Amino acid sequence: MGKGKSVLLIVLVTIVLAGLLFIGFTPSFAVGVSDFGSLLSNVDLGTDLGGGYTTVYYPEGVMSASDYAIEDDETQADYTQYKGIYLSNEIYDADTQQVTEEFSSEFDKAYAALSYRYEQMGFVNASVVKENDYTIRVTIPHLSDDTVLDTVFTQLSYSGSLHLSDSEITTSNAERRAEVWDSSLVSSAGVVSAGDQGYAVTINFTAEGRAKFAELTAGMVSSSDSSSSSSSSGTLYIYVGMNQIITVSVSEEMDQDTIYISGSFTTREAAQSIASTINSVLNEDDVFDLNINYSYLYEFAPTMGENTAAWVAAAVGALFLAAIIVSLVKFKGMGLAFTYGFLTWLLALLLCVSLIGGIVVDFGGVLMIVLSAAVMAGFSYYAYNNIRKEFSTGKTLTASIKSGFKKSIALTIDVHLVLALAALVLWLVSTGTVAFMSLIFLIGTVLSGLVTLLVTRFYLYMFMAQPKNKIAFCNFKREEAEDDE
Amino acid sequence: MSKVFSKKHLLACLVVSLVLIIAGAVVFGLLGFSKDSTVRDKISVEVNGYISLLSEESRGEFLDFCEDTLEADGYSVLEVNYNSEMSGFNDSVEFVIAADTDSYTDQQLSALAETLQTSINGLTDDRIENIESVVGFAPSVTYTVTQNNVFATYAWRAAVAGASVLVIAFIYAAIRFRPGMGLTVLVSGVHDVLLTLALIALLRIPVGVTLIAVAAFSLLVSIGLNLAVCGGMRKNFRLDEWKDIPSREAVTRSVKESRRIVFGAAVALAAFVILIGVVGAVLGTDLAFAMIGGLIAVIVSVYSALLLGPSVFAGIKARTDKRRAERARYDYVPEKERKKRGQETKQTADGAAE
Repeated sequence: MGKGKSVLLIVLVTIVLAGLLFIGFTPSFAVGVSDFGSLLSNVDLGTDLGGGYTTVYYPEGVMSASDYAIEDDETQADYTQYKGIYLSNEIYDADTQQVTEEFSSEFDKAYAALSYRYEQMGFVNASVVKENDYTIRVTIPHLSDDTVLDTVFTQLSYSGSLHLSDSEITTSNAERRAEVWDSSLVSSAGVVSAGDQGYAVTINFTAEGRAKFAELTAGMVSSSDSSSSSSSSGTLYIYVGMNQIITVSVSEEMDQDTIYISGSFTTREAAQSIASTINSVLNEDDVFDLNINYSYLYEFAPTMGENTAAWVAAAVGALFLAAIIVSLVKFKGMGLAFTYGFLTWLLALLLCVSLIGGIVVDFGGVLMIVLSAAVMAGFSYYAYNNIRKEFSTGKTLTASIKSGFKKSIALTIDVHLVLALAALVLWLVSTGTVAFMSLIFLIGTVLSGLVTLLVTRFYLYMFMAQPKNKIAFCNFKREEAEDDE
Repeated sequence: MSKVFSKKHLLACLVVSLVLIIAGAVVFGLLGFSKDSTVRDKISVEVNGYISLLSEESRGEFLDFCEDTLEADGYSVLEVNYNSEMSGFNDSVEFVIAADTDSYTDQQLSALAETLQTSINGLTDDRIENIESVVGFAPSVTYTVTQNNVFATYAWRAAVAGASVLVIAFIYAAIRFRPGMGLTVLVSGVHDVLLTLALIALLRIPVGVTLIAVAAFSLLVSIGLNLAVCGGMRKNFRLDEWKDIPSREAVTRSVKESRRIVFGAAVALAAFVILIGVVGAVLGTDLAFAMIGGLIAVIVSVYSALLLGPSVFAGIKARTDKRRAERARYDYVPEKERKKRGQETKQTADGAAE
């Protein structure tokens, strides 16, 4: 590489990296009426580092102490204190101190269903716990869009079975609730991205379900044709219990294994809450018949401490700085190439983590960032040590660099490939914390491989064009051969 | 012969690990893992009211007042959690007073809630600025007994994923390196995860859902470090000058060369884990405990990458080298090769006859 070209590239790369570092890590500040937020501030955090939301679900017949306190005497007389809550006398016998068997059984089903639904949501560090035996506290991390929070908490609490109907189910046609769409008709529900329309809920039918759905939609289309004045014909209503969860316009007979419902889901969480709820009611044995509601929605601070995320970021920064300093001291010019490579890796990782929707960083994610940084630094040092060894055998510097990198390629690829495969499997199979930490590690490892094998090497050639004494630039010393006497 | 990777050494490593893993399993079976604040059962006293109407300073004073009242009644407050209402001022404060559900009776807890309620209702602005506005909205005090839920599906899926990862690592290392190395990576991976979990159970380190993250971290570190060591051995054992070195000696020398990369990565990881652990200890959070788990994972992985793994592989290599030497001694030639040679000899003889 020529000196002129090298200078141009160094200037360009430095400007790009400096610009990205500014966008990536500068603390937020006001610009006119709006705020500048760095990529780092855009990273979604788990409940341990970023806090989240919590609420308590109260089943029908159970009242909180604060609600009880503001009720009139007549209502209060209908309730009996049980631990820190109040139970309706209809479900609780104060003499025997027992709740009715029916309530107990439905509550257990509701608890199991909610646990399943929240677990299916794939939240990091979410928890569903019993409080005072008959209430359910749910804790989730911050959502990408707070406006759907209420929708998510509400939809995930719906009781009853799944019904698909060509008209609204009201008291006049309540017999339709007997037509349950269970696992014999619907195999599962899921969520897919729908491009500009946000997200889509998918409903997968069994063979029997497909035929029944085709029949239902065919009937809707024909009834729509024959009576265009009917406002409800041509609209598919999907219910869980008494709650209408989706309405879909149907313009033709739909004879397909999977239907995609989009248009009203701007966030993945909103769509996933519908899918999770549908999945949990497919097995008739898991369906609960108990209304559960929440009164207050709370926000809480990070469970690992108020400023833990900032401290962790500072510690990670200090460690990365130490790695850069060590490389500069030990390898000088090669260390400079490593520094540029490391910053490229760091910025690429930050871009991915902050811009790819749905990635949440918690304690496990931080561990994976540091682990992939260690992999990257380890294999860069490994390559540099190989170059040093080659140089010590008497080869020229250019030949040593070529041969050193060549000797490192096999192991570098092997380790990166296996770790990336491992992260991919963990990501695909796991849920929650492990899934997110694996995804971060997968991105970190792939980037580490690319940077170690290609980018750092390119940077080294870019810098090597500049110094007169290239050997000293790499902190190498050529041992002089002793003159023969 | 190198004493480091001898059969005795391997046996000693395995016995020590096995004893620790069994002891850990017994402790886990009897007591389970020690739970941190995020997953343990608890009893807490909860104050609900318009606390957000108070200034930050007054709020702090109010929380101190509640804590002092509870402690004056003989209860120690283990943790205070503040929850702000999303669309109003009705905040909720949770004072955790026990880390299980059986410490106090309902009567004791009802009396405690009533005492605190009375004390709060008696507060005036002279004591805490603007507190009367909170008291005016009738704050309520109650107690909560929380039973935590084990996310069984989450744990099982992580375990299945971990097992799949080990199988993939084994297959890759066995095909790309040598079958013995695949076995080494597999044994080390299983060993490291189990030993890390066993030590966490034995040392009663409080852990929550982070335990699964620590186990996954342990698995990935183990695979990374063991592959680095195995990769070094593969590279060296291909060189002619290494072919005459006795197997255990060769493994020892190669591992010595890989120490730098293993220690480099381990020191970086350990430095980070310790640094964050210190931060956690200062902030008084569960972070410190999680990081102790992480540190154990790093130490165990280094131990297996530099001692256990090479010992396993040295044994395998010694056996395969011995077999190869025996074949060489008897001038063993595979049947196909023998037939081929026979044909070549016949052709040569025919040619000579012609």
